[in-house]
Amino acid sequence: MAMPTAASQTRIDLINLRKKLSLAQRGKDLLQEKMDALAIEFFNMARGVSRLRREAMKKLAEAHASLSACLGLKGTIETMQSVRETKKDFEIEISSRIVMGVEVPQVTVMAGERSVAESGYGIYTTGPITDRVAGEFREALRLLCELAGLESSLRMIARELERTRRRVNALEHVTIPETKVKIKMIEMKLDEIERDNFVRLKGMKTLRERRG
Amino acid sequence: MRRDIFELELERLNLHLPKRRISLGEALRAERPCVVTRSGKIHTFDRRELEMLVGLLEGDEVERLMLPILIEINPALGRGAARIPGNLEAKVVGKILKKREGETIIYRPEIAELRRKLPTTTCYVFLGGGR
Amino acid sequence: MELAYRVGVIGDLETVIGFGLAGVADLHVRRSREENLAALRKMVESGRVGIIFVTAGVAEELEPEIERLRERPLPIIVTIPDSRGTAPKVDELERIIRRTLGAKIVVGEE
Repeated sequence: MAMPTAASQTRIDLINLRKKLSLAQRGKDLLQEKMDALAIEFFNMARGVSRLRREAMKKLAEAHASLSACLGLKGTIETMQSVRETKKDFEIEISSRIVMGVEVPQVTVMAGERSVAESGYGIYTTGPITDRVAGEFREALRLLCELAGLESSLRMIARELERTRRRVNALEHVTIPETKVKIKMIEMKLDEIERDNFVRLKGMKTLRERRG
Repeated sequence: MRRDIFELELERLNLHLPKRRISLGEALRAERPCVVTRSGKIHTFDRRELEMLVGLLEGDEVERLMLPILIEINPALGRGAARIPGNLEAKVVGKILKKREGETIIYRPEIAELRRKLPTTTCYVFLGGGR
Repeated sequence: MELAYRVGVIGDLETVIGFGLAGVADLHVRRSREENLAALRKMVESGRVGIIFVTAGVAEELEPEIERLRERPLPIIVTIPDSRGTAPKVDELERIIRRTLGAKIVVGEE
């Protein structure tokens, strides 16, 4: 006697659901590993940022102190003239690198130490004082640019960490339990169909025996 | 459809892997010690890390140690565990983490320490790992 | 791919003078909020400015705009103390850590 089509289709559904469950569980496992690795990178990076921040802010404060002294000695107008005459050639290079599948920026400062002659000061406004201030701000700027790259990377890693966590939660609390429930329901349905079949066959056998 | 997402994710996680690893000796001799990643980028090793590694090896081990050292993540190992493939690599990692020799499996706090000490000369490999 | 970028500064006069001496090309001394915002947008739209440093007070003024700009990878916006040493309002690092981990964690020394 042919199998009822209801049961065949149901069995196919069951196989598909079991595949779906398996993939969801594998996906969840992988994403959890990704989350753990991201968290490690995040913490290591965060430590680095914290340290670099302190260094950069300290250097910036020192530069400002020198600048205040310079302004006191030469006056604002003269110092601003020096600014106007300075060659504005500070450049950085931004490339990207990939951390755990996330593309993050890498900042490299291009210009090196500048000589007084190169920096383009006019002979009437130059002085060792302005030169020193420029040097200190350059150093602070170098650290700040490095900090910018690291902070931006940290922000992106944090975002990816959150996104991954949400996906893990969705799989763990929605997809997997729902799929398990559906599987259970189908298994129960299949049992019912089997029982109906059995009862029917049994009934026909009894009927045949009675007749025969 | 979910299979594609899974495989894509796996691929994305492994993009930073080098196309070809180089030995520690090769790295030390190079002007710019680096490898090319699967995504086509150049990944540079920090010389200080290279020097730290040399200090832990003897003789021809320097030519045999392959960089970057791989930290293999396989969900089948259980969450929080990783494997260091390669006997010499495992031995070096053991020395850095001050562990017993011969242990190729390391756990989360050790992974964190390893990544902190050798950020450019180690990298993760993600394996799909079936259940 | 590596690309060359300039750096920008929006802040008080002394900060601008300092960074100007260091060779920064894109400078704006803070004035009204509208002018500061316009300067920020101009730097962003140029496409050639990779990092923009904004001093504390201006950063507070332009907070919503800066938050919006942080959705993009570039330019990177960094808030710095002004010449008087007034620090930016909320420590970004702490905010990020809190947001990610849901608790205040002090990132200590190595």
